[in-house]
Amino acid sequence: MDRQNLQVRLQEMVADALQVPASDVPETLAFGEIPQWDSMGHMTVIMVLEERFGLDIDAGMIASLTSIPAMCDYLQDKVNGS
Amino acid sequence: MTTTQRIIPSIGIPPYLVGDVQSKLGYIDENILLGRVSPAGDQIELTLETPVNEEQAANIENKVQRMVLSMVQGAFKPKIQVLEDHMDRAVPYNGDPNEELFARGEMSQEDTGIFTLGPLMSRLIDYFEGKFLILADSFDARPYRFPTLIPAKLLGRINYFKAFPHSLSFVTHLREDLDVIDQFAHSATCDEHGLNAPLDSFAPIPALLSPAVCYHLYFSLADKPLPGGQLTATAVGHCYRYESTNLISLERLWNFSLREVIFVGSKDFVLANRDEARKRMQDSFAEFGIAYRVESATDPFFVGEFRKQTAFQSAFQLKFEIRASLPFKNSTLAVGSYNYHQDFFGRNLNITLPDGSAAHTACVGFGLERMAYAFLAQFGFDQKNWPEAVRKAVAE
Repeated sequence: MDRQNLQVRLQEMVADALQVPASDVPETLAFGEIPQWDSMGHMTVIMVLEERFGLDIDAGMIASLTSIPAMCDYLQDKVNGS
Repeated sequence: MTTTQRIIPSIGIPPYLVGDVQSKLGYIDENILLGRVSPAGDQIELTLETPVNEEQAANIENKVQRMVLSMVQGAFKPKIQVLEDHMDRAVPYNGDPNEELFARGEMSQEDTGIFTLGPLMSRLIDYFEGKFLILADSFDARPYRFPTLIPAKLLGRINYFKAFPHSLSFVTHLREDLDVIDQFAHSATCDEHGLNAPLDSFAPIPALLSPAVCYHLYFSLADKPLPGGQLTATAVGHCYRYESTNLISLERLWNFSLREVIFVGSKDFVLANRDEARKRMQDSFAEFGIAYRVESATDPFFVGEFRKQTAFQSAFQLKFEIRASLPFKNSTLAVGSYNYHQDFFGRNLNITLPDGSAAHTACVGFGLERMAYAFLAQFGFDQKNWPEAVRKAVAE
């Protein structure tokens, strides 16, 4: 999947996880930038990310996956096996 | 007559969650006196106060399974970070201090989780608190005094009821009605479970017993810009956390004292000071002679919030506990903590910095009863064996 498509899927995933309209989720959205993406919201995002993409995210990554671009990089690295 | 109920959890409890699950078992059912999870996490044993029939046993098992599933399924394994390790510090005592504390009149139990302390314990606490005050002074912390009561509406603003409902201690009073007050005065009695009075005698709950010291500072700063953009404060206070079957000796009190140093300001300001406070305390702990380590930890969130909140706290390394050795039980006890709350209080209480952003907060807290208890657990009661600095300061 190319980065553009991945980004769109992540935007949809974040909107669903945080229960906000897709229009409230720009492609660069990060933790803390909208009220719904607070600590509890972040853990919901991580759990939905695991579910949607069939991942088992290491606890050490939770503090790094704090924006859509960071998640995009992480998923692309996973696909590329690095 | 007590009875035992054994339950095989429907999902294996990983070793890193055994203690957390065990600590919540007392909240499952009022009939539970004690709950244990096997070290392998494959069995739960409950000691019940009275025998139960099949239906009651099934009900308890259902609640246990529900709780285990909520805490364990999809849990993130915490990454433990050790910032300091002084557990190899030699200490001269490995006896159980509890019997001696009772025998010497240094500790007497009024009720579950409620203890009074004698002169030696009081002097030790004063000594340790003096050291924590020196730490506060080194940051030019401004002194505050806070009430024991905390308004329910303020705890509601920081989502406390959702995160820690199990540990709340409620405060109310009789309704302002002469008939109700007269009736209470004439008929109120006490039994082994507490006060007997009709529930409709009591007013709606306006306040609770405060579970933490620093909340009062944050509430006092709410809904306005933070003057000067940063603040360092210190206060001591009584804190109240109901811990059910976990209320054991001075290790876990319903009512305990905390001395806190509190930082409010930018992220950089509060994080740098939290770290600096830990570094400055190293010399004091060396003077106390205590064997301890400082490691990442999480707060005891209740079942529904547990998985997400603990994972978040752990991932962002928001909490580090000072865990002192308890040689008599080959265990450790948290005697203090270094905490960072990000902008949680700033956002929820609308505390703003000069640039309009939400203030960040951090606090360092020291449990005074636990400090004295851990010290006696490591050094015993013969003052000849105590570190010189403590002996001189606390000389009887």
